[in-house]
Amino acid sequence: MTIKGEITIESNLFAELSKRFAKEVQDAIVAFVLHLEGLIKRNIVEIDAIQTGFMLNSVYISSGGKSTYPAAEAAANKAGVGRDQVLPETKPGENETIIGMAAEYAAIIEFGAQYKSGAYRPARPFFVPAVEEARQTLDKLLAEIGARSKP
Amino acid sequence: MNELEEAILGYEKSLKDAGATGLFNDAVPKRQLTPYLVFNKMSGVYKYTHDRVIMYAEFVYLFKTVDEGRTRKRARELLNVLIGQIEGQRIAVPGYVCHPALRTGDLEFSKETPDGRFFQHVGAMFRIRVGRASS
Repeated sequence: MTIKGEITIESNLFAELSKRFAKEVQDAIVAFVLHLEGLIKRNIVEIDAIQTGFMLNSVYISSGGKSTYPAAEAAANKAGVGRDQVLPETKPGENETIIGMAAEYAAIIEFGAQYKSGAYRPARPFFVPAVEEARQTLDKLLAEIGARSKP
Repeated sequence: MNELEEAILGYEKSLKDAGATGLFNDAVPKRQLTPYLVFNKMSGVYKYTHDRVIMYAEFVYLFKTVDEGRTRKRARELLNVLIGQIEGQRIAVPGYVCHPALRTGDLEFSKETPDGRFFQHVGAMFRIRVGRASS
């Protein structure tokens, strides 16, 4: 099974700021994704979607040649999860940061799908709500950089 | 179910005319025949005034067709019927003002059940901002 989803956050400040304040913007994005990771994990706990703990620990961040994906793989091994339930790492492009889930079944929980005998199990979103909540943080961080850039 | 979700269910007739077996909010009846559509709230963020009155709510909804089979053609066609009625449109909700619905992402995946049945999921996410209509 292949599942591919993409959430794009757009900001009209970003292109200009990223050129002039590359380091500050990169730091803001790292702060944002770390905050987002915390919110995703909080939501997974809140919807009580924990059996082995693999999905909770399968959230990874990949940016600038560094990645926490190996920790997600280690979590799979620790939980005794089969390789077919571990998605490959999504590699970021230049100036990109990826926050992803290594647990193959995470999308099924997030978006809903059939289970045994075709019965439909409703979506239990934890990722999208976290993004929506964290968007405000990114806006604030970028606005602060924008304010500092003014003469 | 909130007023917005009740309004969305009003699209069911046109979807049935197009060949869907139903439109559901969140839960789907057991042994429901495919293809059907299901929608659910993915997120709700509320904006308040300084005196803590809700100015508006911004929701993200996932609309999805579920079809049994090896291809996604029929699922895509049915989803497009719904998208055609929602994308860029103001959903009519009595007592509220809806801003035009923004399509923010698409979703496609397949799921095989343990008994070997193959289901296609084709969906789209929309951002819908809703405020109270001024009296």
